[in-house]
Amino acid sequence: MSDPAGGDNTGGHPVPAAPRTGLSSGIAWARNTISDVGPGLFMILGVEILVFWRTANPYFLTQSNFIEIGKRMTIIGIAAVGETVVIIAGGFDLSVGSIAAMSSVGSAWVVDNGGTLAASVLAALAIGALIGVVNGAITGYGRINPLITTLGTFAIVRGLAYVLTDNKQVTVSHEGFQNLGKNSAAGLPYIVWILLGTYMVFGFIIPRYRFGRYMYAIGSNERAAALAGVRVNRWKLVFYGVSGMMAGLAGLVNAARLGTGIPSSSIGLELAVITAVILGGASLLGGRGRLLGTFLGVLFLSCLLTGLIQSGAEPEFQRVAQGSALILAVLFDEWRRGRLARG
Amino acid sequence: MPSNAIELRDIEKSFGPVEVLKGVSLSVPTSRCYGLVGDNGAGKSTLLKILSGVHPRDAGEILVEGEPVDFHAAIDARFAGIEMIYQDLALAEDLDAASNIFLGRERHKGRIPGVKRLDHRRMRAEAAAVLESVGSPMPTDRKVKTLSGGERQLVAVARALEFNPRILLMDEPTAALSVEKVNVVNRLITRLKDRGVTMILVSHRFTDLIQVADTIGVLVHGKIVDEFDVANQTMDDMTSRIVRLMSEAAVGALQ
Repeated sequence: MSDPAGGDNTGGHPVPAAPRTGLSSGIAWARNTISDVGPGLFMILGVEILVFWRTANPYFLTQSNFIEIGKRMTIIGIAAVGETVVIIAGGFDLSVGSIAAMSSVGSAWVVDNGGTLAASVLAALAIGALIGVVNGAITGYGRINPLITTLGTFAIVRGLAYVLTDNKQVTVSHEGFQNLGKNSAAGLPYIVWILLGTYMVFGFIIPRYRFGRYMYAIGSNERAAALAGVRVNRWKLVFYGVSGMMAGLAGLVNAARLGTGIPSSSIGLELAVITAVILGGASLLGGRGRLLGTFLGVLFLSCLLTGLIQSGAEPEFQRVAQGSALILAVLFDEWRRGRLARG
Repeated sequence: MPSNAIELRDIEKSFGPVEVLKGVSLSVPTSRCYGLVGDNGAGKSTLLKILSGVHPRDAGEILVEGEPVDFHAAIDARFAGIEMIYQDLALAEDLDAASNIFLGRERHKGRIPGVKRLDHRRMRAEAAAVLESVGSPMPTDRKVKTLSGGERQLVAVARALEFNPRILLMDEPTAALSVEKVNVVNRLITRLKDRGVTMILVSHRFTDLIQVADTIGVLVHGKIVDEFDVANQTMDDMTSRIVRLMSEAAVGALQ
């Protein structure tokens, strides 16, 4: 019952809202963040240590290995930004892997047919956003469960990627496109900069604009948001559009890294992305989650996968580990909610 | 003769084969409080939802200050100065009190045209002020899910009042409250009447309504079967009148 903020709600003593200094609002922010991200964070740290131990590899902590982990993070991490938005908004997007594949062949096709690098980036973003908006329209205006909607587009988009390419890779000879995937600036690969840039852009937007406010509101109580005048279906177009767009960007990064657009690429990306988002503390029921948490979730997953590879485990074991991590994360989310409900 | 802030004429509404409202007419003069009593399923909430733009009506007319209106969404009614407090409060529990109060009508700042940045500082300050005016000063940055039932109720009331409504609709405002909090809400309703706000309250607890309403209407099976001014009646008369009508309705439903 004691209120650390000093509020006295016993009535009769109206307490003027304490002037919020930079420090106290900073402390409040830290408290909220830890309560949202924290449980996931501690689990991540715990398992992280286990992985470090298991690999027992002095190489694991070297700078070049961190860059390796960073590169591994990029594709999952970029797509996870959009998935975080959709999951906080109470939705779900299974189509990110298929969208990434479609965008990888689309962007590769653009540069291969004389387009500029900028045009191929735009193509990747546009392909992703368009498919995402379709997802949003079907779940919003069509009132179809997002699992079904995006399971459908998951199949459709992957199928179209095969059909449109005749099941062939689109190999790129464009130098700038390949450099995007290979070269570095200021000690970090371009693609890691792209990853960090996406988190910074959305980290800036979410607390400052209606986009973020409505994302939490719709995920928390869609009906309340609609009654308050939020155009819920229109915003769903935006949220799923962003998810698609980020998946498209992830596909572009993948194509640039490989120098090839591959219709069968990014299979299983949705598993990794959703695992990372849930590990990061986002609730499957919507309304809660943080971009920072997702970033930590992606970091954890990348360390886990890198550690597994470097400890010589069978590659197939990665899927086992990801699936287990996903289920554990959801169990943990349930447990946390149960505890909150009792408290 | 005082002008009517709100007037309903022969409102009808069915959901599929179920006739919920069978021609409801009522009028509420400005800054008066109309209490609608009725059993569960009598159509009280449906009537309020039609007034607040949630449901379209099948037939009939709604006049706000003499002008016929047509709402297609809750936000239309709000822009017409009609605020509604829902029985379940319709709050986004993961947002804080200030964010809930301004949900859908955020305050913005910023000089770049077309780019609207949320003005957190202004929304927090205004939220704190309106919460204090309803007698519930509380930190505006706490998530609603951490608040007590009474505090949530007052957040919902504060949200309705922030935008200076002319007409306030409340669906079971006291159903979830302790006796003590009922008194807080009742005092608030009296103060709002003094400020010129017209109200329609809906409840199945008529003892709460009688304390604040000027007129009581009894809704039975989608029709207003009785209507009287509270000032002209003794408590006993009203109680026996309402109890008789509602028990007749219950017996009728059984037969």
